[in-house]
Amino acid sequence: MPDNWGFVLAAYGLAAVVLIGYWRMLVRQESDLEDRSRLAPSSGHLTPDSQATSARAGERSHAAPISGHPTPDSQATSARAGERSHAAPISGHPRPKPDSRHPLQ
Amino acid sequence: MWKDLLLEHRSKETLNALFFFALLLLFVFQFTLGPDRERLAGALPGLLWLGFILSGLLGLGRAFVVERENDCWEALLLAPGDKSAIYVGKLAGNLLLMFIVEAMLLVLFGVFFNLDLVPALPALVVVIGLGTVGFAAIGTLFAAMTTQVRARELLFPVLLLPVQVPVLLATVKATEAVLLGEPLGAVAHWLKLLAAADVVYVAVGVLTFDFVLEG
Amino acid sequence: MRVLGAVTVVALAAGLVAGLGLAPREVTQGNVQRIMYLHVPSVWVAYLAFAVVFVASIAYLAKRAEAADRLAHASAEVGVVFTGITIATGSIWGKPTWGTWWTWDARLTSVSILFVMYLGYLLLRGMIDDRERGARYAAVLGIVAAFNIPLVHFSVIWWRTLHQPPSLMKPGPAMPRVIITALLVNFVAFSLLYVYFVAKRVHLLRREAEAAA
Repeated sequence: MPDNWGFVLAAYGLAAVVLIGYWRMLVRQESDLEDRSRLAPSSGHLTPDSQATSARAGERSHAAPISGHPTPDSQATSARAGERSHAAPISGHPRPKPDSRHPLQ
Repeated sequence: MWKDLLLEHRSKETLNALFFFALLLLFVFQFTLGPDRERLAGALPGLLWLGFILSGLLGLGRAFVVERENDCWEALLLAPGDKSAIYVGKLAGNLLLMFIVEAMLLVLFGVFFNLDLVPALPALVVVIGLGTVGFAAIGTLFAAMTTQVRARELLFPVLLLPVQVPVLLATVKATEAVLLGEPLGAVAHWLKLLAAADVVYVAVGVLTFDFVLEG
Repeated sequence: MRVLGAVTVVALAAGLVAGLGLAPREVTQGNVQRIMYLHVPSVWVAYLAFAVVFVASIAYLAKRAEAADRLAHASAEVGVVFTGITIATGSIWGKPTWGTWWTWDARLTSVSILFVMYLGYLLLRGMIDDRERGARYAAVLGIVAAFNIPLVHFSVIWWRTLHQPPSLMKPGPAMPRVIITALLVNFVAFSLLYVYFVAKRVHLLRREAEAAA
């Protein structure tokens, strides 16, 4: 059987994109929280341990849809990726709406 | 529980609406699968259970709406004693409802698709009984959970259907076998799965209903 | 936290090396089989995650500890991520080996059902505004879903094997040591990643709760 390295790369690339994407989303949320509590005078819980900046810059490339083509840098806006980053923001906390919609530029 | 049965009795509208819905489903099945008798015959067990499930989703989804709309919800929450009893009562009521709808659907199927169901009837009853219990057990639990939620009509099927997959697979396979005239023993493993699922679902329902009905 | 992150990265790197480099080229499938080093550890971690959801759900209902609720939430979320990766990598693996992107074989099917179940869990959480009720309901759902996993597993397997011979992609019974090692290394790496993600997510949830209080 042929080696199909393309598929291997696609799979690893996809996994990397998803995991890194999720990680960046977490980091971004963390920095957002930091910013918000820094702006709100009443908060006293700041423990500045997060790496704030890098998540903001740079765009996020999302995972390809499940049945998509095996090109690691294929376009964003799969329902799944959108859903996943949806799941976190809408899970019951008072985050302003624009943030939870941004993957679907 | 008697309250529920009485309610259902009095509100024949639910039953009527479900009956009508079942009838319409049959039409839809006929239209979508076309005049191809072979395909239809092969798909029959699946269609039957599709009918049951769709009607069940409608019927169960409304299981707690009555309480909610009539502000009885608080009364339910404050009721003394074991909340699990409410679950069992609701479950029994829902089961009755579903059995009636299923019976109707079965008859309709027999008539419209020219099936001779009589020889398979006792076995069918067993399979349908087991499957419906499984469906209703979780359905009642989820119905209670989703009544208070936004977009409950959407969330209820979305939550229930994946959980129901084992039951669905088992019942369709068993029904298929039964309709082909095989003895129940041939699908014993499916029946055992159904029975196990039923036990688990009802047990979980009984144990967790308290937590659902709090506050 | 930083240490955990660093260790995770190292482990992941090791996993990559093991999977792509050290492990041998598989006889029948060729190098495509290396996707297994992603796919299998992913699903293991997913199951681990959902087991944690189960335990945390029970703990929440028993003790009403917010921490348990947050753990359940975070673990479910990370579990869904890994389940998604399992499905995606499985599909990509399937295309060259089976010739199709999707097939209703036992494993893909049951993992998909798993995916949808816990996605529903996250949806439920998202749709309930009342924090306490959300936690309670989610815990109940977490318990139901966990009990359902074996039921799904068996029903799907029986469903498939009665129709066609099983085409599960298990490696043969006598797996060479290198392959097992590579799998384990990746599993450890993914587990570390899971722990890292969950820890971060729980931390976030706690912050959010404090901010909202």
